[in-house]
Amino acid sequence: MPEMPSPTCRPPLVLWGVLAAAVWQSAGLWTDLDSPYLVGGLPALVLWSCPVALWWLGPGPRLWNRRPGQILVWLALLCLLGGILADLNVLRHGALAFSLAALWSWRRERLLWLAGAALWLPAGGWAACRMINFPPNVLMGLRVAVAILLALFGAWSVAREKGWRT
Amino acid sequence: MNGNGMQSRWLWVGLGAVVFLAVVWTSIPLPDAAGRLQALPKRGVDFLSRDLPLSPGETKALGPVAYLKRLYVWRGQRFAVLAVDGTHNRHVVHDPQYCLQGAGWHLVSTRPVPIVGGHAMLTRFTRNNRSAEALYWYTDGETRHASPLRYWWQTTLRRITLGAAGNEPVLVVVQPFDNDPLDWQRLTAEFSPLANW
Repeated sequence: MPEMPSPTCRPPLVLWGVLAAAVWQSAGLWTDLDSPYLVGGLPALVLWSCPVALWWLGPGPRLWNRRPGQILVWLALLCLLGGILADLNVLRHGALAFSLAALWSWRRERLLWLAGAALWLPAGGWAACRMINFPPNVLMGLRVAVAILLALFGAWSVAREKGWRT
Repeated sequence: MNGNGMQSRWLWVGLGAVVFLAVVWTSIPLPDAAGRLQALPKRGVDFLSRDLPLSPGETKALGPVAYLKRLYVWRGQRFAVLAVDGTHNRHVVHDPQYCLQGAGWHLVSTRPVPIVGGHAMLTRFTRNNRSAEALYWYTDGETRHASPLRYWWQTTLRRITLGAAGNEPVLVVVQPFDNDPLDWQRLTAEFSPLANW
């Protein structure tokens, strides 16, 4: 089924405010680097975020899909609220993922990229090691490798949206 | 004002509310478990103990949270007890199994050990031809278990209810001192200060 076009506009300023709040609440991601849950998580987060930077910095129009974008911002705010009230880092990090996802125009294919946030989530690292019994060094390599693939996929999605020719 | 501007305004209101709550909620003090840590007896009829300093790695990992680290000597057995109260930063209370793997240890085996009010987990690790054992559990003074998920759930409920949901669970880790062999069954069954803590 073809994707229905949704109303677009310029990205609103509030996106940056929500992102700043999520970054503030997720500070442990870069200040607590000795945490065993974080092995390889930070490089994976940086790689995972690259397509968003490409969307902003690359040539072409930046048309923000209003409705899905606003839903993502509200999801980020809800996660932030839950994360603060319950002191749950997984929700704080979820808020960071949603606020980054809200920062570029939403397309259905980017759901795969968003789901890939589980890669850099410390809770994802814990679950992989605890439930599948991945040794931490294997987890680090896996996180970075899959993040590279997701970054390439995201870059392809940006090129497709903006009509770049390869 | 058009619909987009209105939506944007509500998002700003939502963001302001979240930031306000973040400041207010984190400024409300939560009852901690420091008193329970201090309640662990230092000496008794058949045991005595002394406080141990934290290793540099432990100091860095634990930060300013309340803790207890002691060497106990009981009926010829020597063991170290580390208890951590994560009330003021529960994120330093890691899942011991994963934490040790993160430090380069390889998990060999796990075995639940019944204790009063629940069970603990006996874990065996190896690293560079060295082996180590640790027994750990979480206790809120009434129930004892070895599930990090249950610990997170208990501590989450406490934070949402500002402490009304119960006592803060404390992580307790017992390890043989200097790799002295330990009779875990006897220790958990007969060393009453820990069993009833």
